[in-house]
Amino acid sequence: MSSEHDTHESHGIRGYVIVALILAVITYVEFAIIEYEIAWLGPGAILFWLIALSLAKFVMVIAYFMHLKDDDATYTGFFTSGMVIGFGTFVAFTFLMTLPASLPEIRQAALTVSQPAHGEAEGDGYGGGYGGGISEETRAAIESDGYSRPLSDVLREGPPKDQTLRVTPPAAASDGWTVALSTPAFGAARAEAAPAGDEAPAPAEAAPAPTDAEPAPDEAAQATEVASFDPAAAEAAYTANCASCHQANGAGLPGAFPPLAEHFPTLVASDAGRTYVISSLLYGLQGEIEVQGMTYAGVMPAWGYLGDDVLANTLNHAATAWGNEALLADDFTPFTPEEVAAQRDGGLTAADVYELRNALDLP
Amino acid sequence: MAADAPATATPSVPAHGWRSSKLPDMKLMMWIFLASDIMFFGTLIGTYLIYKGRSLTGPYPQDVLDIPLTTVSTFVLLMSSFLMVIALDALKRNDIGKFRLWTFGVAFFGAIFLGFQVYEFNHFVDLGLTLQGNLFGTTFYVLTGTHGVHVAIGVLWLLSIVVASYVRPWTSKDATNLEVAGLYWHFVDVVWIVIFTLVYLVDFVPGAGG
Repeated sequence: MSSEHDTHESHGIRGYVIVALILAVITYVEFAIIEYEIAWLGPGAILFWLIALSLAKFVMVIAYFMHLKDDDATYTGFFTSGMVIGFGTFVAFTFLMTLPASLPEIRQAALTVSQPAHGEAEGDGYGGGYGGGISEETRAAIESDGYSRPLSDVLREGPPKDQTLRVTPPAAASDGWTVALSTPAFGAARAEAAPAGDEAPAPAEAAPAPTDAEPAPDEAAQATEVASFDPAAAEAAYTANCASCHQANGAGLPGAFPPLAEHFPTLVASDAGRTYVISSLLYGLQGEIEVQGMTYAGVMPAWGYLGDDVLANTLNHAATAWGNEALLADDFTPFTPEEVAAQRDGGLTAADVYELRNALDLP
Repeated sequence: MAADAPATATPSVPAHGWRSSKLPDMKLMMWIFLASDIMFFGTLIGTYLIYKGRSLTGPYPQDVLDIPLTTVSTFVLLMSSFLMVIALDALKRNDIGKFRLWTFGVAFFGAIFLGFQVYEFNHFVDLGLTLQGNLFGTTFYVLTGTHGVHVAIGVLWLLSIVVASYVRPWTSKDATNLEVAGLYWHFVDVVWIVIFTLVYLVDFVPGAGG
């Protein structure tokens, strides 16, 4: 092996010098691209060239300095598989981390695909399933509600503020799902429901998730428990975006993430409290807080990149799930996308939100 | 290959046991290690990129990163890689004096790089960027710190080679020992090439920063 190198040592060194010079020049070009703000190159082009140049350096060092170009292919095989696995992990991880943010689009896409017959639509895992087996008459009835919105928009964004969308599962296997709009006042409906002693979490009425352990309330309870938001969509929004920290049961993680169960209703008892919880979603929260006798110094990220409807849904789920509904003030009204939208562009920081919280009169 | 049963032994199999490969064990092991190490760095870089732009409070990358300074330290590391191949070439030609000089040079350049990093970390902490302060600090320090540890290990390894060459004079027969250390060193350089672009430069692309 060494004798083989002895024969062209000077040639080898000259090659190394050339490679080193090219590496140095590339590094300078990369530096120059950033330092001298080359205006005629767009951001996309700059990004492309930076990555292309560093890739060139990467390949040159490996091929020439590490001799992979002329060495046994076994080495290349091992190293390449390591790179592929590493890059694959990165891609999969990125996809997982960004998936929740694109859920509304995925749901929208699912709605535009023709659905299988009733019943099967339950299994999409996000408590979605609306749209399954909706008859043409029902579709026409909803779309002629005077708001001129396609059914898919009604399902995605929620019904008009003063109306309620009710999607009822089939009573028998031969029946279809029924979808109807009604206009009860939420407060009145709740006042009606509360004396009945039904403190069960808001049932996933529109489409019960397969995992929902709560016994389905009877038909009468469903009729009175109607809220002007879709509990299934609310639960799906919460599960996708909040449950990893605050947990599916709203209990949080002691010392790290505060509980929402038995706590959220005290936050939203006042208008200032409603403003605060919306702000905490839009702008995040940073600072030490105390909930139920425990101190929390974790960080709440800003969720403003999510849609108004998704944010309103998460708030409504937190307000009504886990027995929270029974703790709400009688005049509580569900959060609406409009209420969330009104607080966008507030330009708050996570620290400002902390001040908002401190200003609340919390027990 | 490794699954071949001893029964299928060929004349190339030595009597004292069979080998799965005619490649030098040390070199093969180093490449396998590097394959695992690139997965390790892949996840660290991936984590940095995923959390990029999600810090709630400053300092943000544009507030602290110093491109001219890091360009110089990147250049130093690149040139150390060049010295590494020159040192290996010298050893293969049995030019022990040059081999020692260049190997020491590699370690010296590596130490300069570490010096830049120590200065940088100190400066960043003064600016308020800490490991626990925000997501940028956490992911940045873990990634560049892990790389710095790799460089430090490389410097110690190369210095130990220089010392060893005085204890027992090295010849061209020892070239594989140096080559393996060189593979490790070049790999550390390659990782820095990626970090320099994805962590440092990209933050200053107009509109693409976070």
